[in-house]
Amino acid sequence: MDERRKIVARILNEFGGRFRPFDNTGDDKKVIAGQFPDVILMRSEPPPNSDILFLMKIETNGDFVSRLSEWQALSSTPSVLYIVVPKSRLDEAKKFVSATGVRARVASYEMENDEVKGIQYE
Amino acid sequence: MSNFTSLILGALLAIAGGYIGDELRSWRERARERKAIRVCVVDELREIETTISNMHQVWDTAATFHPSYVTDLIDNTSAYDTLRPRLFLIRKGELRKEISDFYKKLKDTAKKTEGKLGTLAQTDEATNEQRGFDTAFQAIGVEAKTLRSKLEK
Repeated sequence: MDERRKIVARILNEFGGRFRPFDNTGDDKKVIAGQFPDVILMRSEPPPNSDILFLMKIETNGDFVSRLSEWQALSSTPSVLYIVVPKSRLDEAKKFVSATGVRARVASYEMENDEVKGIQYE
Repeated sequence: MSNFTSLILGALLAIAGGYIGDELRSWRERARERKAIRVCVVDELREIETTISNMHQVWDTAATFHPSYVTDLIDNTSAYDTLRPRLFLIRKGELRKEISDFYKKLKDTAKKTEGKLGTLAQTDEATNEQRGFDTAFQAIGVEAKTLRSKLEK
């Protein structure tokens, strides 16, 4: 399982009780603002509903500049966008988000022995 | 009575009749407008109550806020913003003040939450802050209901 899949699994496990999480990295994908977020957290009650509360985009590597248009599109929705980055790049991501005016929060993950040690949300 | 006196008297009566007619018409228009203002504000207050109730429901089930509810609340002040210059038609000064105070409080609270709603952080500080917002909006919901009942009387 690659790093992204592990982080997605962790998030789905973490928020399964509070929200109705949707893994958007599988075959059945939802398109939000023309983009594919990695995780979608929807309101769990009252069913059925599809109120999207949070969108998450996981960035394990690569430069942030090339992701900007995708983040901007996702942040234009009424839901809160979380950009999940490695802990080592947290400050860089925060500065980038602030400088570009993207309406998003940043979360950071930490890996240990090839497993997700934890995810911190701002 | 001479013809001249009759003419003057007739003219005076016509002027007085016209004036009274105008006054009556404008009184009726004001009464109609007053009623329209009340109906618009009452409808808007009902929307505000519903939005706050939904916001609280999400807080109860998911311990989070959806920032779009605050956007909805701000959008739900348009009737007041439009009618504000005509609020003087509501005769009771105290009620007028209550309406203005309510909307000011709503806007101030919404502004205070800007960029702070909708977090997944599970620290005590973050939870307490979000709970504080829920309490503040709940209080606004109660005020909206009270104000609505007064306007519906």
